[in-house]
Amino acid sequence: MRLAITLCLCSCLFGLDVKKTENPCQSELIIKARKEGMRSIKPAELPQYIIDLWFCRKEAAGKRTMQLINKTTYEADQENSAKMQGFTSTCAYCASVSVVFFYMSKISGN
Amino acid sequence: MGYSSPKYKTFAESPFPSLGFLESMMFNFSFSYQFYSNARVGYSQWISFKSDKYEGEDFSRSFKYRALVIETFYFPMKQLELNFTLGPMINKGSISLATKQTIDAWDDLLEEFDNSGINVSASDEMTTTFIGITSSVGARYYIRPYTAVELQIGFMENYYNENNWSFKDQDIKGPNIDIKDLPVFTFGMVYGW
Repeated sequence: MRLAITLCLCSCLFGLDVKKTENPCQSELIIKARKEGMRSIKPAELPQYIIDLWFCRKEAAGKRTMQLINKTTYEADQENSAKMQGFTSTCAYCASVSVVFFYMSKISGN
Repeated sequence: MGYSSPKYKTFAESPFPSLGFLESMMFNFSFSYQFYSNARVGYSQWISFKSDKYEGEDFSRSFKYRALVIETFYFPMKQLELNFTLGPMINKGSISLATKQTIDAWDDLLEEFDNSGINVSASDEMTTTFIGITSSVGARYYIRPYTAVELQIGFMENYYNENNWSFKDQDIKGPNIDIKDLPVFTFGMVYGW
């Protein structure tokens, strides 16, 4: 069983199509993450992105690139979810009101 | 990690030593998927577990509070998220006891091979299932885009019935436990994409 799992994992790793660029910090995915934030990377692109990021860390501009990606991601997160949209505000009101009522009833002893 | 304040009345009166503060600690894990710009759906589970000795035998009791949750959120400022969670629960309680005893048939068989005095362990558990609802509000601070710390305050409303336990397919009466309204405080690490 262990051998089967190991073989399966190994075959998955060998099956990864790793694209190498001369400067890993300039790979397509790193550029995409730098422009739109790291959540723009699709799950299927994740292994390649992690590999690019790993090689990029070792470059001179690696630290700066990662800081830029983090900054862009925080900004994109806030931009996308700055305000409640559609049904989400109703859920938030329901949750808040129920929590407030629960603790008020606990404090009042009912 | 969650903290709550259940009152295990029957257990408190029983020979099991109270774990005090630790008895109120629950291990919590959850998975969620963001399907909308401000909303996630997921599964969350809190586990309250205690193991001890009862009349010299291994005893354990666990309550698993399992919720399907919808979580809505927004970012009032960079890296800080406020979230609101609601969800129905299907909970499970179990009490198990493992006893060591000598069974004649096993003894006879083992004696055939020149063995003697070997205890055979028998384990069984009584279980119950009950529903509930949970709700909480919380704040999440992103240390990195994929790592955050989270603090939540909320509650669980459980519809536990002590007459609704079963043991070997028979309906039995279980312990008198007050877990109807549980305040829950949760602190956790969040890792995700």
